[in-house]
Amino acid sequence: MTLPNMVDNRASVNYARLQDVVTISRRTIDLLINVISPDGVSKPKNIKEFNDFNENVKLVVTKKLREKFAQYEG
Amino acid sequence: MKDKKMEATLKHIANNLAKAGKTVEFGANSVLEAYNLERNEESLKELTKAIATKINNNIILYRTKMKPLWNEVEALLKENIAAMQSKSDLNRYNIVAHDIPAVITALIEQGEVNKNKQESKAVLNMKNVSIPLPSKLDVYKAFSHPLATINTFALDVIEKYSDDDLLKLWEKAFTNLSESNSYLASLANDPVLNIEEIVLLFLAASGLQKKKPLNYTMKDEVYYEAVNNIKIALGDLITEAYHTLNLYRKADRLVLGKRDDNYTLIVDELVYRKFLDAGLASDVLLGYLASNPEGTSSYLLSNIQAKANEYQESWTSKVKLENYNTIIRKSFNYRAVYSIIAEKIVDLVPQDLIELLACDDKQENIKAIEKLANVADDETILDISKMAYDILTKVFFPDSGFEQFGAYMLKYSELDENVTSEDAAVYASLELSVDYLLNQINLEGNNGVDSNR
Repeated sequence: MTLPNMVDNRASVNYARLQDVVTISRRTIDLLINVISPDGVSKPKNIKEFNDFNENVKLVVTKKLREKFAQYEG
Repeated sequence: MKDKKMEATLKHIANNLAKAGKTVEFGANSVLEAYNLERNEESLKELTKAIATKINNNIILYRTKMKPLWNEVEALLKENIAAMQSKSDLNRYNIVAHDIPAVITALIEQGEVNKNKQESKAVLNMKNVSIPLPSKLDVYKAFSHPLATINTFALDVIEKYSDDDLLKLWEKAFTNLSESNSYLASLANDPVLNIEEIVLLFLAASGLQKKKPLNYTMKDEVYYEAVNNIKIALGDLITEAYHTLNLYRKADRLVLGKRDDNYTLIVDELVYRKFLDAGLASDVLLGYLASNPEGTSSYLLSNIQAKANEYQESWTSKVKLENYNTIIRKSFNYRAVYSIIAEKIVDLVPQDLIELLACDDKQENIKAIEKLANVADDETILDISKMAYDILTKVFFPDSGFEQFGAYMLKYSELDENVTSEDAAVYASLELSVDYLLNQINLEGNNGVDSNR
């Protein structure tokens, strides 16, 4: 199956997996935020900043993926 | 909107990798693989707990060990650098405009001082006479002239001096009133530049001439002869200064002289105004001062004006050179300080941390700090806090990932002033965990498997 705008099947597989990476990272951070706090470490006091970070995880991951694979830029 | 942009970026990456013949794979037994295979929330939760433990440990280590040590190292560096700072002398250069004090005109008008130079000068032909210091409470009064018409103008000069300065002046001139008084001789060497001190002493001598200090047991005739003589001698110096300054003004002499330390140029106020009116800047005179030209003709306004560009350029280059040298000297000194106190830094690291980090070779640690002080770029060298952090992360925590942790911390700390260091530590740990996940991606392709770790 080739997704729209994808050059071939390999590209579709790559795209699906990269999407998975973003989803899993986002979910992991979500879970991490909920489990951080035992052992005396509390959540950051500035909730807005923290939520912004949480909100921006997708963008952070996407940016990092682009940097990670910069050598394959066309 | 954000999601569309993200999707476009992901497609772009996916296409590029495909064009290069690469396929995205998840590492065996990785969090990514586990989640991808099972789509199992519970397994992800389990894996996340492990990461969370690592994050918590990082933060606890940061809070209890690293941050206090960072503070200590930074304080040690600051303390040692402060003791070794070298300063530029640029701000010592100074221009002072000199005018004839109004009190001199008043003294001339009242007949207290001659307007024209006399053929013969008064000579201090007296035996040693010492006039006692006035009390600090009376010193202001002691320098006041008995005539109110003169005193009104005298105040302008007197008020420039503190009580202590006035007492010192009195001590230097009057507690050893004799021909051998070197201070009085130095005033006589350049009455123009010393005009204020001469006027002050003249005012004080006028008061002394009017009334001998109470409880002063010296014979009247000796006392009054000495006081009269010094008053006449000081009056002659005022006349000479007035006469000379007027001659200078006729010749448009701008520069009257320099202070002994060669950092202050004294210019005639009247001629200086002409200099400024000609559109010239004080930097020209600072350049003149720094160039130190010789010969009396170089004092004239016309000659300085003719070389204005040269002096201006000379000052500009000096400023540039000094600034450059200051940075070079500064970074050189900072490097030296870091090396010299390397052992003290090592001694700051507590034993339990040395064991935890397995960095117990003291000589190796000292060498590593010295090397860092040698190879770090100037920008890092001059940033004491950054240098303290680099020493910790590169020398003591090199394999713990704390260097990256520190870089992220810095990023989040600078985001917003409300982000505390502990908040920043949490964000840094979260971003590190993203890195951890992304490191589980492999690329499989034409050339075999690329481990993009």
